[in-house]
Order: sequence, then C-alpha cells, then structure tokens
Amino acid sequence: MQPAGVIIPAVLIVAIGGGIGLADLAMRKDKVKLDRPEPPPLDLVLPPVKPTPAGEATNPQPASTQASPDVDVKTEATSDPAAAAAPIAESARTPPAAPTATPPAALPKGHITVPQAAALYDQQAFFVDSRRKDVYVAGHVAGAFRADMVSFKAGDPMWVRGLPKEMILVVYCDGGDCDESEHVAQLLNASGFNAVYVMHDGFPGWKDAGHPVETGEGQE
Amino acid sequence: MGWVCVPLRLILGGLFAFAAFNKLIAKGEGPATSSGPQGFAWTIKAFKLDLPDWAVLTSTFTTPWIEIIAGAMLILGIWTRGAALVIGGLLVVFIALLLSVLYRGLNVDCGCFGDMSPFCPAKVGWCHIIQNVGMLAAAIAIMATRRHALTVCKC
Repeated sequence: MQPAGVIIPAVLIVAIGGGIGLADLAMRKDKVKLDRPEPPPLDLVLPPVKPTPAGEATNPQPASTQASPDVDVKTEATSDPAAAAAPIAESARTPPAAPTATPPAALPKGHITVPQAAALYDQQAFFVDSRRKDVYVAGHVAGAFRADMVSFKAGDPMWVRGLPKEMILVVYCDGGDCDESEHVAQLLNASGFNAVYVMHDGFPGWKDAGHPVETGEGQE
Repeated sequence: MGWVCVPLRLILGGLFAFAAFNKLIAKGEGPATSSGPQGFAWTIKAFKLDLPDWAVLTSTFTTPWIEIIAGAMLILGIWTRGAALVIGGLLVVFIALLLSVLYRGLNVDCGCFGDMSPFCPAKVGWCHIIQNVGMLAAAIAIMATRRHALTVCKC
C-alpha cells in the first residue's frame, strides 16, 4: 500500500468523525455549559465554643474554605443579626489570648481556631496532618490521617478517594509560619471537598489546649 | 506480523471506543465529573489552553467521534492502517497536552476515559504519559504492518 493509501483513509476517518461530531454539536450544544457550577453552599452550624479559662475562645467566627469562598459556615451566634456583628467587638473586650492562640478576628480566610476545630472534632470532622511522617509519628491529633503534598503527587491518596465529598476536613501543620496545611487544604479543595478548614495554630495549639493526641504510625 | 497485530488492534481499538463512549454517552454526576460531553468540556477547560468557547465545544464533540470511528475501524479491519494513523496522531496531541499540563504544574483530572481511570490515577501524571506512549507504540506497529489478518476488507 502506498503512503497515499494510508493518508487518504486517515483523512476520510477524520472528516467523517468530524462531520458527525459537528452534527452532534449542533444538536446538543445547548446542553453543555462551559463553566463548572460553583459547589452549593454548605449549611453548617458550628456549636458555640465555650470560653476557656485562658480566655482563648471568643464567639466562633464564620469560616470558609480558601479556594471556595462560597462555603457558608454559620454559627449559632450569627443567626441573630445583632450578634453577627459581635465577634469584633467581643474580641476587643476579650482578655489577651494565650501565647499559642490566635484571636479569631486575625485569622486568614478559611482558617479556624483550635476551639472551633475541637467543636468540629466533636462533630466527627476528619482531621488531616500535613506534616512530615517522623513528626506525625511523634504525635498527632487522635484519629488524624497524614497527607502532605508529596502524597498527592500520584493523585489523591486512597483514603481521600474513599471519603464522601460532604465530609468536613480540618487540615493542620505546626501553626505559625508553616504553610503545608494551606497547600494540602487547596489540593483537597481541588479534589472536590467543599468544607476544608485550616487549624491556624496547628498541632502545638491543639496539644497545648489539652485535646486528644496520639503517637505512632497512624494512618496515611 | 498480521496475526500479531490482531490483539493490538482489538486492545487499542477497544480502548479508544471505550474512551469515546465515556466522553460522548456516559452520564457524569456532579460538578467534578469528567464523563459525558459536559464533563469532557470541563476537562478541556481545566487544561487552561486559552481556547475560545467555540473551539472547546468543537473539540468536545469531534474528538470522541473521531476516536470511536477510528477505534471501530481498527477492530473491524477497515482502513486499518489509516485508522492507526489517526489514533497515532491523536495520541501525539494527547501526549503534548499532558506534558504541557505537567510542565505548568496543573492538578487536574486527565479525563482520558471520562470518570474511569483503568490504568492510572485520575489526576494527570507521568503514568498517563507512559500509558499513551505505550498506545502510540501499538499504533505505530499496526501502521507499519502491511498485511493484516482478520479484516473485513483488504482496504
């Protein structure tokens, strides 16, 4: 067979396929929307956080995900319009926070305080430790799974694939300047999870507040 | 060689027909789907190629139809080498697109088989490059074979 005997059939196949495709396009064009719809806002209600003796907690501040600002997290306090404006005023009256705690008003978008994270923990939220394995083994939030950025190199880790997308996820690292939790939160958000929060003060803040921790290999 | 190519033709043609089915007919669910024309259009947009809308829509519908016809012809043995050339050309384009996605560090789904991902993780990675290079090698082998066995016609 001459080269033309290969090229001509190839051109015909492309022409036939392209023609049928264009006809299909004309019929079904209206059914295809080019922009992905924004995920529906979640109607989460965080329980009010009890103030700690150190005065760490104030009214919980509505938090939303970094990559999905439409997530609508409500607190019981915000159900009252008058109270909705309270957090800033409250925080101004609140005694100075404990050394490791960051006041809610100072948190970046999508970040939550340790008391808010603890409230979500009680609601069976899923905790994700984004630190190195050796640090994770030395101590982590009880029940937390580990996933750093490397874990996502070959696609979502197995346990991520098995989670329902409605699950509330709380990601943490070491607090302070560490930004691994931020990156992992964005990867989880890109994987379709709508409610992903970063525990701003990280594992040190969690541990200092006396919340459950465990050591060992855990799960990843 | 013609008989050696029979399994290659069946596998490669079957994979392309399967991929096209998932892009054209399978119904995806939710805003994260890569299946059906809707999901495939979102996948093309996610590759951030700065294509105009008409080009995205045209690719969404013509690519899978070309895949399904070329795949069927490869299986049946009609214009076998021409079909292998078309599939090889598509694979070269796909490999270039995947390399561009990897180079730009985009964390997006491949969408190669809609929501299905029989050989690799859903997110684009080197596994997809290897998968496509393997299929390209099969297409080249079929193209290089002059006489094929088990064909509907000798065309």
